Amino acid sequence: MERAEEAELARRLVRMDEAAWTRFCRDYAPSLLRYVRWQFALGEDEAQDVLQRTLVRCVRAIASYDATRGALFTWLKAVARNEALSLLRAQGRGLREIPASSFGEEFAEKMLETLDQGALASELLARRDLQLAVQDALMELAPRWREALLLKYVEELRVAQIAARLGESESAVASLLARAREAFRRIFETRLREAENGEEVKAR
Amino acid sequence: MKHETPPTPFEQNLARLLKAAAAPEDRTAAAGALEAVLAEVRLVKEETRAEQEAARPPRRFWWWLSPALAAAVMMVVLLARPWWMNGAAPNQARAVYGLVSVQPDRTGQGSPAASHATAGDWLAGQWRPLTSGSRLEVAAGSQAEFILGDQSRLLAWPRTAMQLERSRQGELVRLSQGGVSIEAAKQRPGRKLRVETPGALVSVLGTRLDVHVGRKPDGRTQTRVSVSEGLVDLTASGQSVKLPRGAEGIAEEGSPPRRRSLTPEVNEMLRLDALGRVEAARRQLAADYPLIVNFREDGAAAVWTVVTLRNPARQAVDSYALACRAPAAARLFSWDGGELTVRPTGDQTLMIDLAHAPLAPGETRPAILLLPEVRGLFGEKGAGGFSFSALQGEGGPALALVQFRLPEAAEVQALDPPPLETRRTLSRLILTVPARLAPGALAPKLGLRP
Repeated sequence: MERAEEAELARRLVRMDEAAWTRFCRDYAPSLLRYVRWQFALGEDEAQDVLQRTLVRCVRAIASYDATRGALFTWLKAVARNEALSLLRAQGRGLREIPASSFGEEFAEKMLETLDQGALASELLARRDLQLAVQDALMELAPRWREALLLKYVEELRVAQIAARLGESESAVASLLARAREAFRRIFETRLREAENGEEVKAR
Repeated sequence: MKHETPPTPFEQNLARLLKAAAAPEDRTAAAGALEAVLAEVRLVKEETRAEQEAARPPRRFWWWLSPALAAAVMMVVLLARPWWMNGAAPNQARAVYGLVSVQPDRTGQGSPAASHATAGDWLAGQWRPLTSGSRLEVAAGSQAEFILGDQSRLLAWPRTAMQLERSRQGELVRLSQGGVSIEAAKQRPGRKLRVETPGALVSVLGTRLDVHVGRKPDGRTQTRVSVSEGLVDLTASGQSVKLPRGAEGIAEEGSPPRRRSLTPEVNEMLRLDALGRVEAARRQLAADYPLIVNFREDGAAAVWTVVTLRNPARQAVDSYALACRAPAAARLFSWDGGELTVRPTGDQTLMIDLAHAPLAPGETRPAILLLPEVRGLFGEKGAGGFSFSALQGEGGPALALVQFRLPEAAEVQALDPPPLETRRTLSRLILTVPARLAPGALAPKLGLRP
């Protein structure tokens, strides 16, 4: 389901459908900006530069994206990594890549337990690696599910308002949200468990 | 409006997580890229339309005039000198991985029939012949390699668009986007392998290099050439620069080419040298060469300094023996950014190969020397403090810039004289000090808490 919707978006992007590109930028650019800024420890101007170069590069490269091989955001991150590398190389610098996470099994267990019972502490929410894991999980969701979650939990719209925004019935949105939450939990849990303890490394 | 059930703890936490990970300011910041993306989308649409229009008439032509085509092919075969008479084999290509799109020759150079036979999308696999004039596009995540008629080898990077042509002057690679790594074969007299990019021409005589074409944010094309072996000529806007091993040339559309080193510290030494001259003139002192001291956590340091090569002989020399206390891992760079070949002889002497640019009689030439591990620069002072005092002027009073690169966490307790520039990178604290050198003086002084 997730990939099918992305594959359809990719097909529209290959056809150079401007509405699809606008949506692509709106949906993917903020997360990509954040990823680039954090993952490669870039300054604001550099991150913006890498973002723009990546998105422009995607226009000609999108035909090579294969939805059966992975999420669009994963592909996008690979393009961004090349662009960051080429930008830093042009400045005579190396790429300093920070591992996406430094969780351990114990942390993952505790985190998953707290998710269903208590309130997550603010110092935990401020962790860069955790935010990246959330973002990765979010970006792996089908675009419609992702949009529904953001409208509901970030923009704090009511179900009726989301239904009006998406052109669906309220019951359809309620069911969409339930499936989106479940999918998010599944992917987020995988991300947490997959992560290994790691220290910052330098990759030149 | 239906009544909504109160959120579960999971939903409340989900809201917290999403809010923390999706900052609204990123949306605004990212919106700026949309305009550039849509401009590129329109450009691609226009290019596709133009290509489709260009491709249509010849196709009809071939269908209707197939007997004429056969005759034309015969004429080409009879009149053209085949490759074995030119002494050059046909180009060969293969996709190493991913996808390469090959479009037929439209320049009229090669045989149209052969050209159409190789056209299409190639997946990773075996070598195939490639007609001169064919246009190639290497898809994202793909790579392709080529053997040109003169036996030069090319590796095309992902997202590269290029065209291979051949003329009496030698092989020509028209690179419009992306990059290629080249291992050029030794060229026959009067022939050169050339790489033409929008705004620049790279001529190769037998060497290893990378050429990359990118677009700057202002829309201008930028060509970057990095040389790992041999000597390369880069021409742009009517001006040329020679690029030795270890140097990089940059040509932006409409501007003359610039040269710099692939080693950032060499570029920094050249910048410090220029800055030091300005600073010395301001203080009415002679200028001495700069120094970079890159401290390590264990107290050793990598030191970048300048040595002067002098030739008192009456004839040019193509090698030079430099007495040096720590020659084993020393490296030497020329003032134009290239790396010189050095060989330690075992008796604390570095033999420098100057075959590419012999030292003329009476010539003195500065070179940048890297001593990667220098110990003994520090004397331990009291409770964990270090002081640095290694410079001593030789001639009259002079000013030299000394750059200290310290671990980011280093605590500088005293620095005399005070720094001219202070910079922080991700892992280093960089302090540049104007050191006044005079006989007997010890300067500058740096007190550190490790």
